[in-house]
Amino acid sequence: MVIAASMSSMGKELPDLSRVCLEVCQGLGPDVAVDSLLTAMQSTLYEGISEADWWRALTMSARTQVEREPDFTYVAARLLLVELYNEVQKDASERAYLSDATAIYQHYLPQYFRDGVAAGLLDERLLEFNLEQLARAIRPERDLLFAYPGLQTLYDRYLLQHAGRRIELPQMLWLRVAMGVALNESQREVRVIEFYNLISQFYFTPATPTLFNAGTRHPQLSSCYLTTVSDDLGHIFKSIQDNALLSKWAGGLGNDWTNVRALGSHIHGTNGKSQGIIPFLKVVNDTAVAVNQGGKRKGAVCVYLENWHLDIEDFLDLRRNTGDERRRTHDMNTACWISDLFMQRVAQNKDWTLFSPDDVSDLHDLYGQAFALRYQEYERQVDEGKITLFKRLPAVELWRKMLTRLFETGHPWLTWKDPANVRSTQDHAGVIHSSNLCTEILLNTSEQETAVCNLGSLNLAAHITDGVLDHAQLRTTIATALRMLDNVIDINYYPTVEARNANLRHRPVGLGIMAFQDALYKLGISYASEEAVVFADQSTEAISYYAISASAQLAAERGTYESYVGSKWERGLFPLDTLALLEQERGERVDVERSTSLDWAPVRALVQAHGMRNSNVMAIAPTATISTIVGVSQSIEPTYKNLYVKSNLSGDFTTVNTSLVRDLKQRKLWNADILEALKYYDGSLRDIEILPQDLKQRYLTTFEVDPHWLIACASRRQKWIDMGQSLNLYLAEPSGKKLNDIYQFAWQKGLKTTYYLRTLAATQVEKSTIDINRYGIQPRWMKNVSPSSAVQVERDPLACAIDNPDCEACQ
Amino acid sequence: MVETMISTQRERKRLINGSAVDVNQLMPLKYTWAWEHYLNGCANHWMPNEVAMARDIELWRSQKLTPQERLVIMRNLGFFATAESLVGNNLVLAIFKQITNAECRQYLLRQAFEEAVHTHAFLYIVESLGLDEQEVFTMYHAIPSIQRKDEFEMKLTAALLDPDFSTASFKGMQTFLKNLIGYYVIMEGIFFYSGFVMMLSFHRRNMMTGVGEQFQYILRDETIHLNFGIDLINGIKAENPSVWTSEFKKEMLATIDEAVDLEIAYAQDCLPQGILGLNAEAFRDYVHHIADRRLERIGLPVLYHAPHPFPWMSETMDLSKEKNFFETRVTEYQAGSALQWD
Repeated sequence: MVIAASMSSMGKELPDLSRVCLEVCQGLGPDVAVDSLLTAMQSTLYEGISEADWWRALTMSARTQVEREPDFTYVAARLLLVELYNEVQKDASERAYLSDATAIYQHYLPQYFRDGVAAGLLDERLLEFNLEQLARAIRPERDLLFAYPGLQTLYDRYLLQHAGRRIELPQMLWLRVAMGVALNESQREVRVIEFYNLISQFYFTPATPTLFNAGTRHPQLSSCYLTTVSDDLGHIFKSIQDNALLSKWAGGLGNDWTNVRALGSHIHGTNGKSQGIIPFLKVVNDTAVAVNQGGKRKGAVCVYLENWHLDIEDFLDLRRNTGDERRRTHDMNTACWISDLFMQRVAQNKDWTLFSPDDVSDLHDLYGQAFALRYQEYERQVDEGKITLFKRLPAVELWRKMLTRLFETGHPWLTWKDPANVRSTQDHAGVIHSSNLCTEILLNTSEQETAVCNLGSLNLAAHITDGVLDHAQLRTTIATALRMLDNVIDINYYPTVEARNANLRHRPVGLGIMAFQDALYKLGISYASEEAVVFADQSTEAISYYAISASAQLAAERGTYESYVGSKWERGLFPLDTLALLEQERGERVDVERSTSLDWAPVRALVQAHGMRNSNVMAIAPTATISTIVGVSQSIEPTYKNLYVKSNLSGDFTTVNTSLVRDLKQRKLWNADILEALKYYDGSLRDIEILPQDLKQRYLTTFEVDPHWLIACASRRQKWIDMGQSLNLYLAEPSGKKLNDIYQFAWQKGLKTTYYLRTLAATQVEKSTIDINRYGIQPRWMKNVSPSSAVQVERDPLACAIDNPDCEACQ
Repeated sequence: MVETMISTQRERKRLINGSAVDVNQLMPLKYTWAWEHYLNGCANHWMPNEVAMARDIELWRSQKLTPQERLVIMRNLGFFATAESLVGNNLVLAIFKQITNAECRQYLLRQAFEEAVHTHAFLYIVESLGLDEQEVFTMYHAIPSIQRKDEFEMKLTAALLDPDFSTASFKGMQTFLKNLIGYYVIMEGIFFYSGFVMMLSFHRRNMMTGVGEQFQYILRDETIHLNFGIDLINGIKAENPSVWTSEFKKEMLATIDEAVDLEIAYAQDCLPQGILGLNAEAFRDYVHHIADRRLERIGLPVLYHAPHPFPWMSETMDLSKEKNFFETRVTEYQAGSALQWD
């Protein structure tokens, strides 16, 4: 048999295969059988296979079965764990098995800290902790909580390596992170254990840079940096250098370029004309490619421009795949910073004027009514001939161009400066000039201050107990999480002095959420429902309630942040209160329901008494990678498809909706035919006739949930959040009319930002592993009938014997 | 009156041998499926230079690929680099002239452009990785199993380039159909697909992901080429049922069977020892499986009854991908010219 032959060809002392297989399948139920694991492996083997490839083949075999039986994800994860255990203890005389985990952790933990420090990887202060006490707190069995994509992602990029070999195990990573953010705590071990228990059980997960760098010699733990670029050649290139420095240690970047003069404007020094911002942005793009976050993640930057800037039309074309390559930035994101005035001009079908910022130098710092008045004043100056470099066009024409590019290229993202600034907690201390890489951070920037934000997200599904939101657990999680986030500010390594200054003065942190969709599943609620909207409202209210309380408690213990006096917090204005301000500045209704479900008086009293430790506490990040690590649905996203491939730098991972499979199994509906239909219909239940309506409604996929529901939920969350949220929108059959409708709606609902717009390709790749001919010769996307539709596919036919002239098959 | 005229004109359009309606006359549309394929092709527009190759370059220059793995990659680049231009040439030199319908011709022009984009993609890969251009682009001379596949196809093109060739005759129509089957069903439907599997097997292991992404774009285009080709073949059959004789069907089955053998020999040439996830034995099943699928789609009986040996292709090809926006490019966006605002 192939397996035996391939094993003997490896010519080494072999591990006990049956023990390995039994261990990795143990306790996963009757549908996870050793036999199917070995059978599926055979087409993968070849003569002379190496031992390493042999193990990979076994893992690959487990992976191909995930779509049929989701629990195979744990088989693949455990196989990887075994590989990892053997990798860290390379010098051991005997092969490690899964059941050796406890012994390996106990034996290896002290060595890990010694070697890590000796290799210059770990902060030597970690050796000052009581390591024995910490070793006792470690729970090796939590390694089994990981699904395969999560563990593979940790394995590829998060676990510390030395000389090409991993020296860290998953629980050591959680411990390193807990220790790394507890360095300045007075009761260090107690806090470490508190932090460790929180993160190793997936209640809360710090953002990627914290997981990468906490406890190491380079503790750059912040996710996001926001800068503004001045209209000065020296500062332009300083900003590009800052991008490189900030990106090197895994920070994402938002750059505001609105102040830089446009194409055709006059340059005094040389008496020449400026080429505008586009050629500089090409440099920004190429810098992001060159500095790829220490090789762990691609460098990532988003450039913001207000849409009255004269270069806006070229800016919109930056991501197109046609045109002059010198004016294209394929690796960089773009976003528009839009005023309420513009939205109103679109609605009223009026004109809009584009300026070069050197002619209107105060405009970018204004918002609300003040902006509108000043903008109109500059338009008068154009009319009077005082400003000669401008362009005037119908507002709706520019709006449509923005939406068209968004549809074609996914860029620019649309973000609104007025709700961001009018509702800003720090309006006394500067102006928000842009959002960040993921459109959830909204903080002031200036030439002296680079905004910084440390992020982490709580797992909402883990806080649903017995069908309701578990307030007690939520309060505990958030108190610990906020403490961790606040600690980061003092421990963090700041690549630039502007970042350090800003962060120590204002101390913003961003507590976000993930597993919103999973929480809805636990509650049995469809995303496309009024119940979901109410849950979005009340769950965010609770999180906001506990987060603000936690920051006020920290202020009681550690003092307020430096610029607290004069802030909206100090003025008694909480996020909910600022909706009225927005309405006032906008001069029209902001369509958000204003009810509360909790008694806020105690929180207001707490803030009144102690102030706040952090200028900002909430922002909902996309959690693209950390949600994969802990195996939950991403951020506030609906389920992409009930069966799909999640793809990231670690590769492609088949992802099945486990809640759905559980429900289908319960109703005896999960079988090969349904699986094939699910593949054929791209993970949607809608067209599978046999499935009941209630499941179809509960398991809607991204493109089936009307975007109005996503916006309605986001709008209710935005009531409570002091920064923003990364809100992706999905449109299956887009038209200009629909695009216009949903983005107008988002603005009316008071959203500060939106993120990607996702649409579907016109056609797909022919599916390989399913019997597509059975569903008809014409592909599913074709609207017009072709002659192929008449071709009859007859099954159970006679095979043709070509060499037999009487073969019936051809007659 | 006018309406009757329009509907008569529509009625008189023909895929081949149509002389009643001017070949330049697009409207009124008759073959709406051809026009739809054209629109879909346009909406899928992409260019090779959109795909970042940095990770591939890093891997290619490292020691992480085995000689066998390099061989598979080189042989496939060698095959595709010329195959795409053979397809392009056959389209514009042999097929285009014989098609007497404006909407189908419109699609052929779109397809010809896409073949050019694909050839461009292979050059882009060769240049990015710093491969020997000469070696890749002349491999069809140097490697017999590639040469045999190309010769098989070029014979079909040559038959149509004969100055006396015409689809007016019964024999001529059959020769033309054979060309269509040879290019759409065999070349783009069978020869291409084993190459796709080999290249995507790297993608599955998270290796050569830039090349993998180019191949995914190409596959998306090829899926339409294939569907158009099958619609065209089935359309010509429907308009000229007499040509689809049992002798001709037998001849086509034998032709496809011959091509299948050429393909299996090519797979063995690419995979003398197998690499992780692929062995030549499983490949035989795969080629048979794909060939059966193609046969059914033009109304021929299946020959092989082979199972699909690579369940992992479900992950790399069949399931929709949700990409991590920071880490990989999202390939699904469409060209926006068709947006309706009212």
